[in-house]
Amino acid sequence: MRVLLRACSIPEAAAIAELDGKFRLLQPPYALHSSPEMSETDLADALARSGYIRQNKEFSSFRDLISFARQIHEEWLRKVGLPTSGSLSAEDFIAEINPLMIWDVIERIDNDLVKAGLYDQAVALLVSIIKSPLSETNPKVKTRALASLVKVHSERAHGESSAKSEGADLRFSTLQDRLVKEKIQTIKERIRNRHCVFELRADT
Amino acid sequence: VIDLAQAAAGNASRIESNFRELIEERSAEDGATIVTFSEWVLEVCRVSINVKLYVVFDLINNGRYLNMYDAAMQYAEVLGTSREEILRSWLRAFFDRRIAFDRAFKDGEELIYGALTAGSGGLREYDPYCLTLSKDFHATAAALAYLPGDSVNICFSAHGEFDEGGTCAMLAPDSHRHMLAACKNWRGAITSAKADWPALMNQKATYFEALFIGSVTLTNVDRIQMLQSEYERMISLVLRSVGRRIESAEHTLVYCFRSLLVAARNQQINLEIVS
Repeated sequence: MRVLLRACSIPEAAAIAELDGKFRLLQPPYALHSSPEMSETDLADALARSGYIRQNKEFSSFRDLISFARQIHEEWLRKVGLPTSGSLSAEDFIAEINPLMIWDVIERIDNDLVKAGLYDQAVALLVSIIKSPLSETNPKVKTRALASLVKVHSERAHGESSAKSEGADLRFSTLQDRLVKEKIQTIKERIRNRHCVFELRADT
Repeated sequence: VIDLAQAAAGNASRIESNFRELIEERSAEDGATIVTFSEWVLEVCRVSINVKLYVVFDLINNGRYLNMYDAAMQYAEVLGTSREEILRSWLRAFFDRRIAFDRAFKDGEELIYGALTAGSGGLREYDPYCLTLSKDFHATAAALAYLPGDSVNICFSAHGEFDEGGTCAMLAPDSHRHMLAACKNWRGAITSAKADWPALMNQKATYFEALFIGSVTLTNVDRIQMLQSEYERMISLVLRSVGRRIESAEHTLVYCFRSLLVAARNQQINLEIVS
């Protein structure tokens, strides 16, 4: 597979890649849901107005292309004096957000993190919510967070770990796999339409 | 050299007479709808600028929005290259047009480009964050005018030459923005429900460019709208990043998004999520 890098936005570590004539915007976290397809007009617009710089580099995979986008982004961060990596504690995040957002965060812990098997993140966030001043002033928040925490422990204990791969199903490696599968599917359709009698294996 | 404010003011009476003619030529019912539409534009629509997260981050941290030339200068200093090189890489095919346009105006390098939009994330096709300027922004701007479309397209001939006469004739002053909008978008206004009018103002094909010389700061940014899809991307990224080492690209986003949340919590900015 040859993936062509057509444009990139260095401050955003975003890239516009071309594969088989189709354009795709790759942006952090380089997940399928954050990598929409683009038209040629979108590409022209990105170059004309959105700070994208034209590129013309070939890569053997999306992974390599994304590594390149990350690398030039890191060089940029060093030059502007921004940290190139770091971590985020659950306490800091909970202390920073608007109290009205807390319900949304709890919902997302239940519906996003737990389903993705990200139990450590879910527990850290829920414990931070329970310990936060917000829980003291609003007991409903505490009750809700506690209920979620019980649920997280229960799910973890029951080993419902179908999404153990920490959401890797959405990561760029799978984006690549998916595109390959789509390509195989297209070839299969073509073969079928030509009334060929053999079947193409998914691993070919 | 064109004086933006002066050129726009010179068109006021013509825009007004075009507007009156339009109403007189239409049926009473359509005329009334067009007047209602123009009043709605006056009341609801604001100058807005669609930007990326790192531009919002810059605004929060530096207190001031940088126009294209200022931003290019900042990039050039950091990257050790020339401002022109940065501008060329950004503008590519539009470089000559944008430079020709700006140079035609007095203090053209101070121009800031926005749009006259009706909330709902503004020109969301461009970027997911919409800085909406306060209603009284015009009072503080050194110059503010509107064009019925994208200046790099409508102000140039088919051969790419800047049309100075045509450009001057199209400029509308702030006081007549609603009439300009009605004269251009009246068909859409009379054929669609009022609830759909924002779409007329907020899409590439029918939008109005706002160009001005002035300072965009946190004090005159009324609100920052963020697209729901962008919010989903960011909040998901942040929650999944808790307690683990975050790589460069994701870290920058998390860093910028957190500063946005903190600014909203501290009421430095008014943040809205729009679907």
